[in-house]
Amino acid sequence: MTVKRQLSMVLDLNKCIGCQTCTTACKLMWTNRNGREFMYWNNVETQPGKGYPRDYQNMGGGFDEAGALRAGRQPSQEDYGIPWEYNYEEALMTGTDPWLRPNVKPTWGANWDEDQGEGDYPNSYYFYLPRLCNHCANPGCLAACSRNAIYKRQEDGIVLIDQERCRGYRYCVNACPYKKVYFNEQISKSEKCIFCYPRIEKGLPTACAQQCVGRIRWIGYRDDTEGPIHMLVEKYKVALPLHPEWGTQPNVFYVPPLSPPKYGPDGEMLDESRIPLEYLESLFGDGVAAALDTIRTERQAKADGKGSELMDTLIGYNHAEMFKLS
Amino acid sequence: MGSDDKDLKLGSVDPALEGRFEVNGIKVTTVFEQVKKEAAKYTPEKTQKQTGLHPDVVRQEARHIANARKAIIMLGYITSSYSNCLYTAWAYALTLALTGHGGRTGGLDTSWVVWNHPKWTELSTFGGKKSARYEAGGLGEVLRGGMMEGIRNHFDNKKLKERVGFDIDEMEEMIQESIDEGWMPYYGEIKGMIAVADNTFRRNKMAEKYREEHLRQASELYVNVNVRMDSTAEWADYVLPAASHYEAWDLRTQGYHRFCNVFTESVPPVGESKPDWDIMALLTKKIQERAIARGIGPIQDGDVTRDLHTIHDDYTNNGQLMTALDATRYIVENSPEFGGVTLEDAAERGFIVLNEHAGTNQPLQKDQPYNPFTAQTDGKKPYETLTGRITFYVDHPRFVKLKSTVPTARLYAGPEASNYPLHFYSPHTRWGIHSNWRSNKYMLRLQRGEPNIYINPKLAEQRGIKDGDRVRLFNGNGAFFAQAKLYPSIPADSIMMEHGWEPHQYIHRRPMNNSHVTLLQPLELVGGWGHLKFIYAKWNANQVIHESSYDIALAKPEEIADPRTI
Amino acid sequence: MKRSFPTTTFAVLGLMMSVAGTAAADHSERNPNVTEVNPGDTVKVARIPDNIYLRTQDDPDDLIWDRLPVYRTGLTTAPPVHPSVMLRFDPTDMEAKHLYFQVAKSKDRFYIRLRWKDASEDRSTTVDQFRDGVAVQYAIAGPETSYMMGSGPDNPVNIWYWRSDQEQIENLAAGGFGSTTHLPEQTVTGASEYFPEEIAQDSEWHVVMSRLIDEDGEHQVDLSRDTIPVVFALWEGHHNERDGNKKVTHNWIMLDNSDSQ
Repeated sequence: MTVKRQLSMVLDLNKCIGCQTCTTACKLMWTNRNGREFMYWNNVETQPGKGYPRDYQNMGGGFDEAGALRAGRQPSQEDYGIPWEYNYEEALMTGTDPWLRPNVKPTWGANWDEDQGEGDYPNSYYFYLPRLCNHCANPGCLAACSRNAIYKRQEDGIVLIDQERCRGYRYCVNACPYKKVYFNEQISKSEKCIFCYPRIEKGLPTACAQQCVGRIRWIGYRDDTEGPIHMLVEKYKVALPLHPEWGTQPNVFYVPPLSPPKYGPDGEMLDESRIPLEYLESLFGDGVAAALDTIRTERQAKADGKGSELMDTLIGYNHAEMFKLS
Repeated sequence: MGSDDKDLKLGSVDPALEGRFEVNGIKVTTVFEQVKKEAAKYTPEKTQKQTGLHPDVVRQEARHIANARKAIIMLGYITSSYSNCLYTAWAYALTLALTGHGGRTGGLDTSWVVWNHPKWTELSTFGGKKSARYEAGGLGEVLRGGMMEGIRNHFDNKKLKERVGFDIDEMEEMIQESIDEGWMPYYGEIKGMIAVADNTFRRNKMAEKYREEHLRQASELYVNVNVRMDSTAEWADYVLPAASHYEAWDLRTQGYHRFCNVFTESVPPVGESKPDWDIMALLTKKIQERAIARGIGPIQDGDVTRDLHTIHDDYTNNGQLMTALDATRYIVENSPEFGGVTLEDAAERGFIVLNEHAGTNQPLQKDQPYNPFTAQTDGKKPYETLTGRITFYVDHPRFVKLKSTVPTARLYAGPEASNYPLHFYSPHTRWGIHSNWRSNKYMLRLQRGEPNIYINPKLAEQRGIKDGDRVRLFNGNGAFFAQAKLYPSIPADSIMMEHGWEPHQYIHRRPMNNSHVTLLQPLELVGGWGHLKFIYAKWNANQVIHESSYDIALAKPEEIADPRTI
Repeated sequence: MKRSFPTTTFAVLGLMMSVAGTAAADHSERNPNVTEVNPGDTVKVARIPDNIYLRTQDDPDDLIWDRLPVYRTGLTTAPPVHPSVMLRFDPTDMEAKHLYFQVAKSKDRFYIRLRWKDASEDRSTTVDQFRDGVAVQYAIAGPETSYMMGSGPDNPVNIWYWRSDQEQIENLAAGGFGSTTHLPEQTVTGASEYFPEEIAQDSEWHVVMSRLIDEDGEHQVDLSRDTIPVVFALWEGHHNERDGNKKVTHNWIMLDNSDSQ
């Protein structure tokens, strides 16, 4: 789907500390009310893990190799996690409840398998994967909508759902392999990340990027050859899309994580990285090995005092250079 | 030889680092010789069994530090939660000294560093004239909170002595000695309590006992100033509602960075809540009024007097500083480290960059890192130590008694010093600071929604525990319940639980800290030896809070049932 | 607003579907008063005498309905016209779903009553549950209009859509696939009731929809005409049916709305 310009985001997974500040910024700005309580337009999940919604990577959707929509499974409410409430008044003020607790026994939530990962101590491994709508060039949600309710904005490629046209069929929820479209039961319509377009239109970055404590997010236009996106995605090729094989052509890219070496049985360091390369390739495709090599080389150059344009960008010295919104 | 100049210049002196000498008929050797001899006991090969670290890893790390152009070792606060922290820290200092890292090439840093803020100090000490009483934090909490009983319940005296070099009886004797000798101040029981900005009944170990002791001692009056109904406010006679973040003018700064954040009153305080400063202004006003009415004059307290009849005038600088805004403006516009910025400009920018006056040991230079101790390495100013140099030999009688005159090593206490097999780690809240936001529903929805422990899947399988099960953690001081979360990144003999949960969030309101034991390290309680004396935030004893241990079992339904259903 | 509508039709497939079997077991009823109706047939709109007073306008179980003729017609799977529908399309499902309908008018109001068997009462529209629904579609012009959502914006249809999660009838218009639009004038009323039975398969939905005969407004079907082409569509939430995943009448049934007896 051709648009005049395409906004894009790069996230450096080496810098994400899993603090959920982005999740919370997004939650308080957009999804803490009006039937959106269970939605996390931005979530941070631990990988390897089931993610949010639970097991979304095995729910289908996206496109097959021939470019046809693939069938997707509808996540259940439990797959998202039912947002439990608390008895603050009864437990803390009136004293009528014995202790402060959720109104249901929590059995699943958006960050349920936090820090679990894979492997055995001391060679366990995991990392954080913040996820938002990829504002794809070939959105599965858009292709799946029988109502023509989903469109990409010409000026920035942001994917939006026309709330007037949406009749809540949930084809888009199924079709998005990233499960980043959500059905709002209160209004019987689907909703999703809007890339904070009211902020973008004022020249401000998205709330998730603005609030990011680890400064892991860059925002800019794909065609801005002077901007950070071009440098990370095209020039150094260190930023890769999540699950490119799903065929939606995401406009959100990730710098894959390096990891420390594994330990042998006697506590000796092995020449093998903790996170298996094959695993990272299963997420980010064939470019992972080259991307990790480039980061290693450039890091060393920076450490040796030789300077590195790439590292200076990845460090993220100031927001003005991280967010190029014109 | 020798000089009257108090500096570190060696001049023509070429000190002997090694060798044995006879001076005036006395056989002497160097500190370095003794340090070497002691260190030789702990080769990487010998310590591998305890540390699990392969000797190659240890050597590689040592060379990594030695090769670095600059190396700073950050002594995290967690280390001080173990009884052998002092040994660890001394070994860090030794490592850095031996690899030539000091001043511009690095050094030791700690998480407890603050900048120089003279106006802050002035306001908090009634114009700098009357400092509050300070105590060694851990010492006061352990004694005043009645924690010794729980410590005795938990540790096996013989095992403890083998691990850390002292047992409970000796620890108690040494605590008493430190008080009796005046090495560490301890002021005994309290009579009343006005608690601000400390969730002390959540935070302290042997929590129930600690709380009961404080409520007994302060049975006449306990006032809590708080932004929320936390586990400490819940027990107060009066809760004074305080303005929260963004509801009051405020300044925040700390040693990790060189900025002071300026908080404005973006929204008015909710309901009747007021900024802490305003609350204290009103409280002191009433206290002064009553003191005058009752004819109470100056009360001698050591070197100073406590003047309730002028407390409001002293606190508010004779009525000039009545509100948080007044106090903030005063500090911003008069602090040398803020360079004369106006409050309006500071608020507009949101932060103030501290200038050279903020440096405590040496000026904080613009656009340069605040390297540790350049005043000493470059300026040859003596360190604030007995010898004026970094000290690797202490012959304080207690250091001699505990065979710790030079850097050496001790084991932590841990489960090996008790009858409960599982290590227990209680790190900071995953996404918060202590109990701040701990009961916030949006944050809780991003974890398990209720207190949870982390358990290695292998241990869980052994004990028949599945992810999401409620489990019982127990030791000689009691038990608590939590949800089990599988976590392969912890050893199979360990349990981890974030520390900040409010007691009222636990099943039966029975928190981890009821059974969580503590210790004090007697070496940290010495005084009367040069720089080793009680100095606030520099030399005092903290609670050793990561030495507790537990056993675990699946909780029985009747143990965790709502009492109203039985 | 100007919209473009997909022009592809699935006429061949549609015809194939329309001859789908009548072997279904959901009309065990042997009521001799029920008349089987096929697409293309004409049925008479009954007249409610002026002296009969309906206590509740749209009571789905009013006694009046026992006195008026009942028609039965078979609905079969709608041909998929969008990839999302195609993904969920089961070409082996040939079973007809039987819908019983009655049409009547009073002096000023037009009524249609529908009932069908549905073993599950699906009233929720949630993240992972779909609701039951039924719709009546009228050609605004004549029977040359495509019964599949109309023939483009110039030859649209008017749709009355009842959904189990609310007690109001949506008044819609469409001029081709994907063009269904909520009309500014919501003039249709209705009511429904689910009658559970011990044998779940015998449970029934009863739905009544009605409108004043004289209503103005674009896309409102003219109910004063002598002949009104109508088709039905039915969604069973239990089978995740929504949008084009539905069973429909495969060509117009003609309502004889003339005053002749």
